[in-house]
Order: sequence, then C-alpha cells, then structure tokens
Amino acid sequence: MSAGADPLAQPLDFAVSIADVRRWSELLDDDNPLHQGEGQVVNPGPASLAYLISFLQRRLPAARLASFKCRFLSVVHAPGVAQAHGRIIRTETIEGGNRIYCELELLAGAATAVAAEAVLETPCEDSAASA
Amino acid sequence: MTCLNGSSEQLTLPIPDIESLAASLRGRQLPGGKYRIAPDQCRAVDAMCAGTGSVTHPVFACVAALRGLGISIDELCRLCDYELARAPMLGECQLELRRPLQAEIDYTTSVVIEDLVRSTSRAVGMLDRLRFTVALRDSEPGDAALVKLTWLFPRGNEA
Repeated sequence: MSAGADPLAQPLDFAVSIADVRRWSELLDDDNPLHQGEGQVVNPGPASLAYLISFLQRRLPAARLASFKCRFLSVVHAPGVAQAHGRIIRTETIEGGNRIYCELELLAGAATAVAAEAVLETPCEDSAASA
Repeated sequence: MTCLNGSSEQLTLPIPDIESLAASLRGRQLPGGKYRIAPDQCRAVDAMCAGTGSVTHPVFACVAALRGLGISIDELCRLCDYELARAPMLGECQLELRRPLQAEIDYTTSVVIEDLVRSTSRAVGMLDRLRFTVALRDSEPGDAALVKLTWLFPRGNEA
C-alpha cells in the first residue's frame, strides 16, 4: 500500500446494547449467566472480536482478512461503548498484492478489553488506503 | 461457594486433578457437526457490529466453530469438571481464513482438544485453560478456516 497516513489511526466506536448481547447469545447458543439478566451484562467475546474485524473492514475496505489472533483481557459491558483502535505495523509485497500486518485494541472505558493482531491481503497497490 | 457472576447458586463439582484430566482430554475429538450461515444471520451480525455487508462477516468462523462443537458450552464445561453457572470466559481466539466464508453453504466442523493447563496467580487464583482447534470444511479441498479457541475456567482460590 502507499505511504501516508495510517488508515487505522482514526478509532471507531461501537454501541453495546443489552438487546444485542441477547442476540449474540442466541446466535452463539450461549447460556452463560454472564450474558443474562436485566441489569448490566457482559458482551460475548465473539461480539468484541466482530467489532475489531468490522473496524478493519471499514478502514481497509479492499483488503481481505487472512488471519486474526486476539486475547480477551477484560470484559465489555452492556449497555456501554467499545472503541476500536489500531495501527499498521508493516506491509510486504506478495504475489499479486500486498500483505498488511496490524495491531488492534478494543477499549472499554480506559481498559483494554481485547488485544489483537491481524493480517490482511489486498490485491492492488493503493486500494487498501481508501477508507 | 458462590458463582463468579455473583449469584449464590450452590456448586458441587470438586476441583479435578489437572494432570489426569488433561491426559484424558488431550487429543480428544469432539463430535463436531455442521453449520450453515443464514442470510438473515448475516444481516443481523452486520447490524450489530457495523459490518460492511460486502462479504460474509469473518466472525462467522468463530460462530460456526462454537456452534459446531457437537456439544453445548455447558457440556464443554462439564468435560472439564466445571459448571456453566460459574461463568467461564473466552480467553483467546485465533482465526485462519483460507478463503472467504459464504452464507447458505454447509460447513462441516471437526474439533480436537489440544490441551488443558492450570495456572495460579495471586490476582486470579486458580485458572484452567482449555485449548481446542476447530476446522471448518466446505465442498472445496482443504480447510476453509481454522479456529483455535481458549476457554478460561476460573476456579478462584479454592485450593
């Protein structure tokens, strides 16, 4: 990809609602009591993972996610807001395109809820930086 | 004993010997199964996580892995002598996406338990980590995706 501003430099906010936690729990068939109840509940881990991947999709729309690795460090509560941050740490040329290596964080308040690394592949020189 | 989620439900399972339990689980295959991503699920997930809708969201690899274990999360906990009421947590997730996921095709899942390890720290107390790998296969040769998951079973300061 071309030199210039990092497309991941601008964070992205995700609203975390209790209704969405219920929908995720249904989708995952997850009866964990952490996700149940009427008051504050814990967002399922895959939902937080999805926020970070959506962040990549929005900031690097021409790129395909090849691999993703994350650690869940603390919980994201609903209702609440999670904020995705990231940076491109390096790129390399591969046959027919580029490979992009990223570091990502999902913040819930001041805490890092998820720390992740991702590798994306993009087919052409400049398409990845069009977010 | 109280649950980690704050409830006072009585829990009964004793702490297992980690060496023997891990030996019984290491390399064990879970039943696995099939998972099909429905178009309405795609729309719902995109709406919940601001997906672009341009491709099937890659989080479905994780969803398919968890739905395709062939056993419930409760049964997974019980394999490790743990109770769902104590609120296990997902600790780590690794996705390798060999090709884009697609809705409305069947993914066959095969699941292998890699290991169960125990650690103890002052902050968390006793913590068991179950690592397993789920392979998603479609009609094309090779795995469509590999998902490596680590579940955390906090046991507090039970010892």
